[in-house]
Amino acid sequence: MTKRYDALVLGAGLEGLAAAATLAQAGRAVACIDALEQPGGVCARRTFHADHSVPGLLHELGATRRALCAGLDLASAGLAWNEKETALWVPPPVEDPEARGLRFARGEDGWHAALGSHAADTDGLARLFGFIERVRSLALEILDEPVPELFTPSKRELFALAQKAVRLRRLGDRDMLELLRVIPSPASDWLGEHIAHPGLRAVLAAPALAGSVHGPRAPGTAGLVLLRACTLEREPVGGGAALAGALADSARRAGVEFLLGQGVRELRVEAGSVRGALLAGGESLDARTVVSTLDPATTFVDLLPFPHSSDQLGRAARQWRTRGGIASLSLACSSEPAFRGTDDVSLVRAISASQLDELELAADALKYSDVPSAPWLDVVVASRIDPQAAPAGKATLSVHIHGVPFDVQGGWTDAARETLLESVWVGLEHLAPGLRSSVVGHELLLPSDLAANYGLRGGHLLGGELNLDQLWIQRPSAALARYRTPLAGLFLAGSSSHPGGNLFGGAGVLGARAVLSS
Amino acid sequence: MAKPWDAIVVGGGHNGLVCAAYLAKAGRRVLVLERRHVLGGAAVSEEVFPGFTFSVCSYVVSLLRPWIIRELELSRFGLELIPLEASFLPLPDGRSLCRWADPGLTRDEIAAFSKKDADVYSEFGRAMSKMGQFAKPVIDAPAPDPTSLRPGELLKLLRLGRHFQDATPDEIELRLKLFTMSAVDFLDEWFESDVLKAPMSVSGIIGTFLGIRSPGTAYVLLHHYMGEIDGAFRSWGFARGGTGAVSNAIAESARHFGATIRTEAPIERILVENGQARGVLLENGEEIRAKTVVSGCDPRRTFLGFVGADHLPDDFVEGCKRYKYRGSSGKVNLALDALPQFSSRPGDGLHLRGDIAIAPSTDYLERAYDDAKYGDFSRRPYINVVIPSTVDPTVAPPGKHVMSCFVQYAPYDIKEGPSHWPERREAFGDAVVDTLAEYVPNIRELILHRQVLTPWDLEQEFGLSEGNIFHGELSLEQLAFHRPVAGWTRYRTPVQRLWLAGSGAHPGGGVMGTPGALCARTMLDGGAV
Ligand SMILES: Cc1cc2nc3c(=O)[nH]c(=O)nc-3n(C[C@H](O)[C@H](O)[C@H](O)COP(=O)(O)OP(=O)(O)OC[C@H]3O[C@@H](n4cnc5c(N)ncnc54)[C@H](O)[C@@H]3O)c2cc1C
Repeated sequence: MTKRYDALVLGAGLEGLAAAATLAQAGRAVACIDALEQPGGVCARRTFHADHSVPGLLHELGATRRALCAGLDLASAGLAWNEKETALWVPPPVEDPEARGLRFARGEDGWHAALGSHAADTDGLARLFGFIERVRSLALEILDEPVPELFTPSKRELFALAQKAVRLRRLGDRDMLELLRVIPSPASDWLGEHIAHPGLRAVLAAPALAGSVHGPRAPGTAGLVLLRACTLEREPVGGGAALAGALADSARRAGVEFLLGQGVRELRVEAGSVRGALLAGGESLDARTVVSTLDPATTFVDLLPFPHSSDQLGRAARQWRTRGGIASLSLACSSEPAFRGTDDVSLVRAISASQLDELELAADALKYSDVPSAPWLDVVVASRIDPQAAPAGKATLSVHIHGVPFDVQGGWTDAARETLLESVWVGLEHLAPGLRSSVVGHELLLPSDLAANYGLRGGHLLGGELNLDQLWIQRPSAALARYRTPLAGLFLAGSSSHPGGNLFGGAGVLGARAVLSS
Repeated sequence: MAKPWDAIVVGGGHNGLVCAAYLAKAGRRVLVLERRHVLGGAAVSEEVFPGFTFSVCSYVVSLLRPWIIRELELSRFGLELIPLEASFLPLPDGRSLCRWADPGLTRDEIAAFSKKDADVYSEFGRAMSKMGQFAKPVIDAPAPDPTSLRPGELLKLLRLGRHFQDATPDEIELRLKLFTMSAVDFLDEWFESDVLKAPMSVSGIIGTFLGIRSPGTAYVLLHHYMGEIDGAFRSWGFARGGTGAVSNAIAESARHFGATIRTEAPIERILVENGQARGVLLENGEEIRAKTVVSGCDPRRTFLGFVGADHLPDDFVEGCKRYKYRGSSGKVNLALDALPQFSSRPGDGLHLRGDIAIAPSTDYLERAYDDAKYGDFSRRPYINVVIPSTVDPTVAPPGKHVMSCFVQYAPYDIKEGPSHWPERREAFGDAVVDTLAEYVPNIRELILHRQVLTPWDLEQEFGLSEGNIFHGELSLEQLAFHRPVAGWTRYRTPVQRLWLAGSGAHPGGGVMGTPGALCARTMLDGGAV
């Protein structure tokens, strides 16, 4: 007996949930399928040590496309957003412990930084963020709608494209040209033009480069800094798990059926159209529409039976780059951490990179598949965003170790893991003195572990590398960027589709809309 | 005082000369002032050691536009181009790869490393040549101006769009990728053997401070498919007598059309009165007046040097300061007692009559970049070697040879500071020779003389700011309507009657002649001179 649905959504991560909820709200009978036992993907709560858990593995959810998700009514599912943006702490550099650290946050009244003795950068910051504010609404407009049709645009689409050009022109000559100059520039150049403080440069660049294998000297990284600055807003209360929980709730209320704990083995195809899917357990499902939020290689190569994984699809899948560069380390601590250089005990997040070269060196390790000798760290005190993360008086930390390749020369042996951890302890000790001795349990997930545990190809957390050539009309390829695929009924709407990356909910909702309009 | 000139061209580099020749050909009275004792700027031949003539800087001619050769009658004035026979890649382990003009031979060579790559190679060539055709109109015309709302400009943009529309989906995809990817990522999509990808990817980084894995470097691969000699695609060549012969032919042409050319005439300032260029002041105090002044020097030297920030709007000055040079290459010229013997292909042969790349792997090239990123020259650099004396007997005594080595990376801003380059110069030269010795074991015994040019030397001697060989990096954000400063990309400058004709103007560096020619054309069309 085969069950019948209007649509199957593959993957119950944030995009899968958003897509499933959107489709179900439009009256479709939807099943959302995931190999994991709970919805949320990497945002699901992960208990790693006794009563210590992390509310998902991601550190930034503030770029979630809230406008696109408005229809999903996440508020009544209990989701709230913080009142302020999360401040980032950069402790003084190792070589200069006398220097002051840097606290960076965007307040209600625009961006500001507690620059301390580096007030010299106030003007530069104002210039930088003045520009960002001016281009922001155009950027959001482009991100929150499907990419233009390049191949066979209709009259209407051509008109829409012309309108976009007019919008670009309306920025004025100066800002328009500046925008076109900044996007392909290296972050180090652009930031260097405005900002002198090495720590401030690092704090602006580091989180923006998290989805890229490149360091800040690489062209296009200024575009990533700009992208993040335009899109990042306040974080959800409770972190990723709360966001995922609300999306799942919304989907459930709309009638989505969850099939969890077993993945799809194969897609069923007849006469050039998708007809359903075969689950790992052998169950067969009927559906005229399949929305995959898995990466292109999984979708087209692993799941599509030969010969449908045709040349074009197979090629797009092979060429999609998903080299992860982050290892996730969760720490259970017996006491609250204290970041070096500050007595603010409410700080949630700190990064160890006090200058851009530290980011560059981490990217170097990735290039040669080396165990990084001095990876930079991005630390979130999970228990300060989510009271469930640790028992009272104790703490849970989530650490992203940057510059960790999927494969290393000689393989990820126990010794290699130890070498990595050793350098991380050193870095952590600098960030938060005394931390190490408070650690009572930890879990290290290398990119290969992330791949194995969460089905993330290459261990990449954001659906595929963020680079100019993998964004917008090229995400995941020029021919596939509008969610449709050459196979009737098969859609692609995960974070490897536009807007993708950490612009959560965008691809899921836009992809579902593409389904509904076809 | 003498009647003012119609135009003074500052700098007798090949672009300045091209501009002068076109203006003279149109009947204008033109004076060229060159600082050095020889003409050509970075396209120069000099007898550095008795009997040995070097293309001191630029060493292969590729993009010199055929229409310029024709219109300025350069063949008549002595220009003769000799096509390169091959691209030779020796490897330290004794293997090697040679890509020949003959596709069949190339195929066999590549097949020794990968059968699959051998099959794909010609398909790749066809796809790239097709894109080269698409790109050619862009380098042969002034940069498009997205800020203009004039019908003519919009039409031009529309036509570019049309080009796009006419392409097949595959071609559209390829173009998008070419302009956004890194050279290595792009080549990865076609080829599997590193031995092929390494020497191919390297064209993406020439003259920039980027690595082959840096996004945005793929488009430069097109260069190799746009180069043309006698209209034949994909050919690079030597000029008989060295690259300076190109400049000399242009100078002859200019003189023929009536231009006056003075060498050893360094200028100190461009005279600006009431926002207008009125002439120049030479370093020797001489003042020469002209109706227009054209600079063939780079933007920094021109605007921040000769003109001075006082005469320029603030945002333009800011744009000039942002414009990036950061030279990353050097040159080592060797006079050799005999033909070098490569251990991977001993003896004389056609493989020595092309360009030879020391680029054994992509990791090797990337590591060379890493050294430079942190402020040092590459311990094991990328070297592009040519031995023009194998095809041009005029440049070396019989039996002896000149070997020109283009070297990357040598960052202008070494950690000791650029002015410390002279103390590191010989160490840099040694690194180059040591590297060569891994492929040509007896190279040290063959060297009769050695000239080492660091980025510092390129700045001091050739007037190239920060030693950038292209008058500013050819990176995406410094091309087309951004070169050199947004809003000022059509050879015009904020100083009335002052024009920019060097490689810092669209379409950029290389021995192309286009900036000079397009500048002259814009001046003449607009009735500026
Ligand atoms: C080492 C090296 C290798 C290269 N290899 C190649 C190659 O193989 N193929 C290729 O196509 N390109 C190559 N290039 C790049 C190419 O040579 C240049 O982009 C091109 O020659 C620049 O020409 P130009 O006329 O624009 O400027 P330049 O040649 O720089 O001309 C500027 C002129 O202004 C003069 N000048 C400076 N100051 C004054 C003053 N105060 N008064 C009067 N005159 C002054 C200078 O002496 C110079 O002659 C190479 C460059 C270098 C440096």
